Amino acid sequence: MSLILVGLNHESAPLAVREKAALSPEQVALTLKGLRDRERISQALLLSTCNRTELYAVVGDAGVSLPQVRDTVFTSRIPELNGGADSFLYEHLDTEAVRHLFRVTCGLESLVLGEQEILGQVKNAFEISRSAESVGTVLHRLADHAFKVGKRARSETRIGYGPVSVAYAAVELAEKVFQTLEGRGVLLVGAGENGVLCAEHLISRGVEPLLVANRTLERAETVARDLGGEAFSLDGMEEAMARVDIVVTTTGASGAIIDEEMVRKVMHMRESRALVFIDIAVPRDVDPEVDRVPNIFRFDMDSLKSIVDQSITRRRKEVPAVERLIDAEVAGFMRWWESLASGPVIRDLNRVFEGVRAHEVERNAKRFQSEDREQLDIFTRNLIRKLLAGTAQRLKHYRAGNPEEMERLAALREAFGLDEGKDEDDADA
Amino acid sequence: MINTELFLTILLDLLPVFYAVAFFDYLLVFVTNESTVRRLARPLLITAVLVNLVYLLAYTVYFEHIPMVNIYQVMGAVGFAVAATYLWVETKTGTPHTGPFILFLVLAFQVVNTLFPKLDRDVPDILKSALLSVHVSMAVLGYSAFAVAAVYGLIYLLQYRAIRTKKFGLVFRRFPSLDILDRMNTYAASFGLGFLTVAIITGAIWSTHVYGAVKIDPKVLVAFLTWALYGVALLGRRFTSWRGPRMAFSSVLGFLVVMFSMVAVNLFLTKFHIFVS
Repeated sequence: MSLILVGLNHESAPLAVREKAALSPEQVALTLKGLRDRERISQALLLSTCNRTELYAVVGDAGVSLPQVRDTVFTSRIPELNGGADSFLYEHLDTEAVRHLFRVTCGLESLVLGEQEILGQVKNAFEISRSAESVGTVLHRLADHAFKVGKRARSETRIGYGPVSVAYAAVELAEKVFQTLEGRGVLLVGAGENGVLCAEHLISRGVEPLLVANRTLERAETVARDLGGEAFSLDGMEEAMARVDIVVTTTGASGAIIDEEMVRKVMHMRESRALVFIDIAVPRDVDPEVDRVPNIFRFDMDSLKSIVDQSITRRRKEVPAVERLIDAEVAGFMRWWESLASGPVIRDLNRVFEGVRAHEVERNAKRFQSEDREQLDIFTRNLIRKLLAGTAQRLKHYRAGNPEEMERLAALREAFGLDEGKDEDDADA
Repeated sequence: MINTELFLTILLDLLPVFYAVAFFDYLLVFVTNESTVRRLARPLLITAVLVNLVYLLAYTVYFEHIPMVNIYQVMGAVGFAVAATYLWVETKTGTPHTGPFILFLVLAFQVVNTLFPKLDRDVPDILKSALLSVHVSMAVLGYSAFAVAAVYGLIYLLQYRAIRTKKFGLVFRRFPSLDILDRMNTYAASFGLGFLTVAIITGAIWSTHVYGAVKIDPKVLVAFLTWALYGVALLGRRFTSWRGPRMAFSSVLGFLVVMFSMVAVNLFLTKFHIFVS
C-alpha cells in the first residue's frame, strides 16, 4: 500500500495552468467519484485552492495508480500539461507525501508564509471527500494529524506572527499609537478600491465614526452608504480631519493634497491630539513635510511594506522550528502506518487481550484456592489463544499491498483500541 | 538583640541580589521575549518586593521608627515604592517590556542603600514623631511616583521617535502603544502630585509645631518648584494642547528637578532636613 500525491502549486506552475487546474467543490466531488468508479481508487483527498491543486490517495500499487491519477485530475483536462510540460507537476510517495501535506497545513508551502487560511481550506477539502465517501480510516487519520500539526505550528512557533498585508500593517501601526482602535474616528480620502479595503479592515476593529471625502461628492456618498459612514467633498476635509484620529488617503491625484500648512491648522483645531495618516496612494497624497508637525504619525506605502517585509523575515526564521515539529509528526504517523500489516496487528491484539486476561486473573485470584490458581492461569491463556487463533489465521492471508484489506486492519486497530496510549508518544517523538 | 540586627543586615545585603536577578530576567524578556524567562519575571520581582517589605517592617518594629533616617535609607524606600508601583502598572498594561527600565532605577537605589548601611540607634527624638513619619513617607511616595512617571515619559519619547522615524525595531515592537505610555505617565505624575501635596502640608504643620513657624530652605523651595511644574503640566494636559510628547518631556524634566532636590541640595546646600550626620 502507498500514499501518493500528485499536484501543482504557485511555485511549480504558472497562473495560466493553475487556474485551469482549479476545481469547484462540485467538480471535486465528481472527480473523486470518477476515480472510485473507473480507477478503483476509493480513498482520495482532492485539495483545490487558487494557488494549488493536489490529490492525495491511498493505493495498492503506486506504479499503476500514479499515471491514472495524473491523467484523470490533470493532463486530460489541461492541454498545457501534455507534450513534455510535465515539470509543472510534482509527485511524492509515502513519507514524502505525508510530509508535503503537513507542510501545506503549516503554511510552509503557501505564497504568504504561515498564513492561516490554508488550514480551513484543507478542512473543507476533507469534508468534500468525506461526503463523496472517499475517506477511509487511513486518510482520516492522516487528515487529523495534518490539522493537529498545523495548529501546533501556529501555537508553538511564531510562524503566524506579524502583519503580512498592507491593511494589517496599517492596523498594527495605528495600534502602536492608540492601543485600541475602538471608538477612534477614520476619514477615508478618495474612494478607490484599496482605500475601501483598508477601511473595511479598520471597521472590523471597531472604528467609529467613518467619514468619506472624495473629489466627486456622489462617489463619496455611495461609498459612505456602503460602509455606513458620512460623506464630504474635498473642501470639507479640514473639518473632517479635526473630527477623526486616522486618515486613510488613496486618491489618484498627481501631487500631495494634504500639506504642512493644512495639517498645522487641523492640529490647532484638534488641540494637538495625535493624528495618524495612512497614505496608500502612489504618488503620495500627504506631503512628507507634514512630519515636522508634532504628534503627527505619517505612514506611506514604503513604511507599510517595510513592516510587512519584517514580519515575513521573522516568519522565515521560524521555518526550522516548524520543520522539526513536522518531522516528529511525520515519524509518528509513519509508525502507525507501518503497524497496518497483519504481523503488527496480530501482535498488538495478543498484547491487548493478554493485558486484560492478566489483569482479571490477578483481580480474581483470591476467589480461588492456591492449588487452583495455576489451572485458572492455564485455562484463561488457552481461552485467549483459541479466541484469537481464527482471527490471526485469516489476517495472515492479507496481502501487504491491498488498500481495502489495509483499511480493515486500520478499522480493527481502532475497534480494539490498539493505538490507545500511543498518540502521546507520537507527539513527543 | 544582636540576632535581629544580623537578620536585618543579611536581608539588606540580599536585597540588591534579589532585585538584580529580577532585573536581568526582565532584560532577557525584553531582548528575547522567550516564554520561560517571561513566566519567571513576575514571580522573581514579587519575591524581591516581599523580601523588601519584610525588611522594612522588621526594621520599623525593631528600631521603633521608619527606616528613612538618612539619604541612603530614603533611596532604598524610594526603590521599594517604585518596584511596588511597577508591579501594579504591569498588571494594568499587561506587558512586561517596560520592566527593565524601571527596575534599573530600583536596582541602583537598592545598591546605594546597601553599600552605605547605617543601623543607627541614636536617632533624634523628633524623628520619632508620627506626623513626621507621614511627611517623610508621603514625600518618598511622591518622589517615587515622579520617578515612575519619568521612566514612562522617557519610554514614550523613545517610542514616539521610533514611530515617527519609521524605525520598526526592538523599541517599536516591545514597548506598549503611545496611548498606554501617556496614560501611565499621567497616572504616575498625578499620584506623585497628590503625595507631594500631602507631604508639603504635613511638613508645614510639623514645622510650625516644632519650630513655631514654617521654615523655608532650598529643599523646600525645590519641592514647591517641583509641585508647581507637575501641577502646570497636568493642568495643561487637561485643558490645553500640552499632551503627548510635551507631557512626556515635562515628566522627564520634572524628575531631573527632583533628583537635584534629593541629592545636590541634601548634600551641599542645607542643614535643615538633615538630622543625622
